Amino acid sequence: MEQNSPICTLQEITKRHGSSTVLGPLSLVLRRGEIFGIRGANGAGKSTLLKLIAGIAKADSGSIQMPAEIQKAIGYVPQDIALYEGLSGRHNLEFWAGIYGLRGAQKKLRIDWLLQEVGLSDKADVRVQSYSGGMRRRLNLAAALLVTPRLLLLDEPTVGADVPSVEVMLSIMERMRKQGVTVVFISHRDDELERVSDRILTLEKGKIVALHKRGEAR
Amino acid sequence: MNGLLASIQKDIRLLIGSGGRAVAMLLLPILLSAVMFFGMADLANQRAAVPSFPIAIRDLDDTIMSRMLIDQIEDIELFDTVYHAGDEPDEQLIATLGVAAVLTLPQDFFFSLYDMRNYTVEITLNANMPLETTIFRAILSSVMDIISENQQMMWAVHTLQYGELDDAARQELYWQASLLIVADALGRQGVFAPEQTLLDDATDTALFLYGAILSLFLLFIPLCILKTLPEEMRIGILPRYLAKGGSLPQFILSKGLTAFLICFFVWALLTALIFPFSFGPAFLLFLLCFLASFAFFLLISTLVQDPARSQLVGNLILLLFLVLGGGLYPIQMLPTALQTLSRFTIPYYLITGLSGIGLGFSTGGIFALIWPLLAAAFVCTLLALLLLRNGRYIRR
Repeated sequence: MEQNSPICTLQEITKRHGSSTVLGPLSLVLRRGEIFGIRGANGAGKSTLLKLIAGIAKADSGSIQMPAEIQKAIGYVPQDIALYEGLSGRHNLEFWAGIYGLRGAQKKLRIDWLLQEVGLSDKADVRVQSYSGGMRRRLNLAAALLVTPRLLLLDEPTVGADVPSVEVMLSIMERMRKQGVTVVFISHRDDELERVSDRILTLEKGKIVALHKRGEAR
Repeated sequence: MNGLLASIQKDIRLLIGSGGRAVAMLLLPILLSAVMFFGMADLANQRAAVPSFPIAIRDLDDTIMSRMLIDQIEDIELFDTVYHAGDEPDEQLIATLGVAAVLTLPQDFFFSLYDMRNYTVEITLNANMPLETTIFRAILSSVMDIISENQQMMWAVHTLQYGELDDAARQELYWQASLLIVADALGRQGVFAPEQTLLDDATDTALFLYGAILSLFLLFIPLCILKTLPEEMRIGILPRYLAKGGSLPQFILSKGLTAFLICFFVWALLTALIFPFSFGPAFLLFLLCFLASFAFFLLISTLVQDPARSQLVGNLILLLFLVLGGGLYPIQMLPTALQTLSRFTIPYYLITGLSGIGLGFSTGGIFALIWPLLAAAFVCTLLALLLLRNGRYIRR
């Protein structure tokens, strides 16, 4: 698959909650090896869009086309810290690694590497309960990277994170891009979006109001 | 399969932890057994040994048989005092002496049993002592039934042997037979055999304590495993799990297997230590109690979405089940109105099933006693899965 080739095409998708339409109709194409930023006010439909791409939610109309090999390799980092506070960082990753089908030495190596990547090697055996907000965010990201994704979806990964943690996460995103992974991430911070994103989508009340490349005026 | 094993490992780690917590968790059933045996044995004895109570008997028959009967009754430790009542009204005896019952043996009572005339004893019961009056009536009915049947049988035999008897002949034969009949009836009545009573007391006590400890674990372990479910729904673990190809039944199954493994270990330990029952009925009882408990707390965890509140509700229900179901105190010690609620608790069926096992019921017989547990497990599981499938886990 070539760099910048389409890996996910959303065609006139719509999502409703009861009688109100929270997203769409909306059409969009995601490309290989890009970082695609999404911003918008609360309730604009950003998380809903991410969940539709991840397959957690189903669109009420329209279609989402994605090659099968991409569909199987989606990494999703929810806005909530989907980690067990009663377990250590390592045990949390072992659980998710088991869900992803990793076993034995491969699992151990991957976990050790990820803990090093996100800077949590020295806190690996400490319970998540005692982690700071930034540490939890980093571990949350590591859980999504257990199986190298082809499409990485991040829902406000830097909320509540300290500056060093934000730096770690943005660096990881940039490394992912170099490896040909498509990264879609939501943020309320324009400086983060402008720093790493190749394109930035602005949503308002479920509709696209702007889509521009980094450096272009909105 | 990998996902299932990973989930089981996760649930075990959440419940037991490691190191000292793990050791404490494994030793807990043994320590609890010892504490309950030493601390609750007296309380458990009350289940089989009701506090003694007084009764009064008015003997208008005044025959050797009636005096024999009264002598035997006076020897029963259950009746701490047997008053010999006179002409005073029964209500006055109950009010002044506090007796549980006043028994009046009418004149010619024992002869009337032999002669097939319809004489009956009169009993006045103290409404404020329901347990004691129930026990007294049961004992007396049992003795009188035996005496009555034997006397009627003797009358039939005499009639066959001697034909129609006149009053004088009947009186003589009656005297000969009745002494033997009364002695036989009193000998066959188990309550008059103190050695057997003591043996039954000890067995009942052990059964009760075994049931109490097992009740506690069969409720506590599933509650602890399932208390994480509301949090897993709230913070997005379950949606993430499903997004990665996991299935809802597998997610729940992993929790069920984890709870089952731990409960099975406790059950095997307690059963080997205290009661080596025959495996079939004992395992059926354990399995159905476990399924009902797990299904019930699964439904609770699905309904009460706040994690802290789910834990609180679960703990309250656990306590209610233990109290109402006979897991902490014998059911007979509860007020009558609360005793009717016992049938809605899991410990009730556990202790009922244990009683059946103690009496030698077959596996089918045990199932007949406890089948409501299976029905409850089915209904609760179905409701919980329906709620979860309808997206109750999706945080909007």
